[in-house]
Amino acid sequence: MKRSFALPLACFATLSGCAFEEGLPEIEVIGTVVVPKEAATRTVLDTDGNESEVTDVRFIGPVYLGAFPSIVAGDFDYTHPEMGPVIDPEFPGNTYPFGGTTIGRFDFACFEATACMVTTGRYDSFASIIDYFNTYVGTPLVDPYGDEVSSEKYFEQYCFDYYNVTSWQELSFLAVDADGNTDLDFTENADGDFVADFDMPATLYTEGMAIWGWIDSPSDAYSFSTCDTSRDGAQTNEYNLEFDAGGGHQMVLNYPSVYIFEGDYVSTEGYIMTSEDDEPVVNLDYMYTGAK
Amino acid sequence: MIRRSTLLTVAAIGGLAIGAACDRTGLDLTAVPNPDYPAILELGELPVLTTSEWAAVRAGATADVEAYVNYEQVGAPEPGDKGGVTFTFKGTGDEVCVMVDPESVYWNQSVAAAGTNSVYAHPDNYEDDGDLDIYAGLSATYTGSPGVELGDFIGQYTDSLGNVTDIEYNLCQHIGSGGDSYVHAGRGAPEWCEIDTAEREGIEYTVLLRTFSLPIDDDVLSFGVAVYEGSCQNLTECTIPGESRSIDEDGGAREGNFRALESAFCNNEQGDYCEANPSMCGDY
Repeated sequence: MKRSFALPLACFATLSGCAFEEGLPEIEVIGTVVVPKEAATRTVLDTDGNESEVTDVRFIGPVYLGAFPSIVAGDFDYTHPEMGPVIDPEFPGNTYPFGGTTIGRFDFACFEATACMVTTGRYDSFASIIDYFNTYVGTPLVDPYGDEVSSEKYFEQYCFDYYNVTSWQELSFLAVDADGNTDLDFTENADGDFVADFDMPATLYTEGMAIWGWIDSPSDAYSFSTCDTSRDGAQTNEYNLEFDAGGGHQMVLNYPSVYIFEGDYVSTEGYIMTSEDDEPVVNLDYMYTGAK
Repeated sequence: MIRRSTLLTVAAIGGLAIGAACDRTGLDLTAVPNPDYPAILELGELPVLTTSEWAAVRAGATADVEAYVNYEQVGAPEPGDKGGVTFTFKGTGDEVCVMVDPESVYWNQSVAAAGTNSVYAHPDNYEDDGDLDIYAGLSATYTGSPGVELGDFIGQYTDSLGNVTDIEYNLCQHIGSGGDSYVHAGRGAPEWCEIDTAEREGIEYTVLLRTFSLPIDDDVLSFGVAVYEGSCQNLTECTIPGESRSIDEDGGAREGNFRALESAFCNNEQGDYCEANPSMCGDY
């Protein structure tokens, strides 16, 4: 083939590729969640034993979002996606979600104590993690030798060695962009609430479907119901180290009620999609206060 | 440019290949329906053996085994149809184990050039082996017509927006040797699963043994099946002995018998048995 034909042909192929409509029923849902300020606020004790209210983005656990046929009230003490038949008496019905995503997920920050404690998109430095454990959890981070981790540089070097990496950007539990700038999931809006963008890929679109979700807020002991410290997590077995690094449970969106506990924030109404081009805004506005 | 002679040569080779392929239909590798042996068999309700009855089976006295294990035979379906066996049992409110052992035995031949394991030195005769896959669930979720047409345990759920989702109601999970779930044992190998019937005492369950393959030496698959209370523990090829039945033994083409072959296999002596009875193994 002569070269003079090759270039136009390539251009034609490229342009026609852009115009090709696959006709798939799945879409990419891009939207925003709004987390009330209260969900990021806790009453904590300072070193003198005085109580104070603190608002901190690090109190926002993983946010689980799914697309469901509908949201119904009455099955639980909070609104919940409609469910299929109960097959296993020990489980509720499956919600059969059309798609889902999270804003933040559990990640292992090198030391055993961080298993199931650290959510991505909440910490922008090693110092931030050290501070979270010292100030809120109340149990300082310790290394495998039992020594308290107080040096950010030591934390960094330990993680570089643990993961065989050389930069912060390679550690997904640190919210730092390619330029080294802070890149947390949530930002505070004018009302004092926190907002974050979400991207729910490959979601089966059906007109009228609801985007709904909840926050797995940390318990009083700063643990999370959607994280499994023993079963699903990556294991660490090196010399004197032997522990599970933790990881998220499976089928969380299929059985939300199994994982929603007191203190978690749930979307009351979700967002009903009437067009594939909708950009849903999901308010996680209702705090579940426990079974009535 | 490709020369014409080259094209002709390629065409000739292609034609030869196609012509040669046509002389092998592969029908000799499939089982043929036999009117004396139905392809779809309904056994009715099988009793759930008690712990002591199952212990008697495990003890191996022939009279007990014959009394408590169901030995049956199923034939080949017409091409394109599904064949298999169904039966029911009643939930006990606890764990129930279902076990099936299709004929006959299977082993891998030891082909090492040095250090050959003499027990497995002879090949297995794969033509006398069949394969049944177990599925089970509440009878209410079974879609087939027992004895007439096979079904499955897949139901449909339609959500409020009209989307239909398949629901798997099969409760039978055979755990593979590697710990994998939802697997099936292969040709000639026993298969089993536990079904938790908690809170469903007296409720009817249906078991489907789907014919995956039949022995091509006689086109009839003999098997033994049992249902007993408790969990499936330490089950092997030797748990249900003598599943090969009359048509296998009456063939007359081979010397020896399947019960002796299975017994030799269970005692790690099939090497010697095959040496003495090569027609019962894969050497003939």
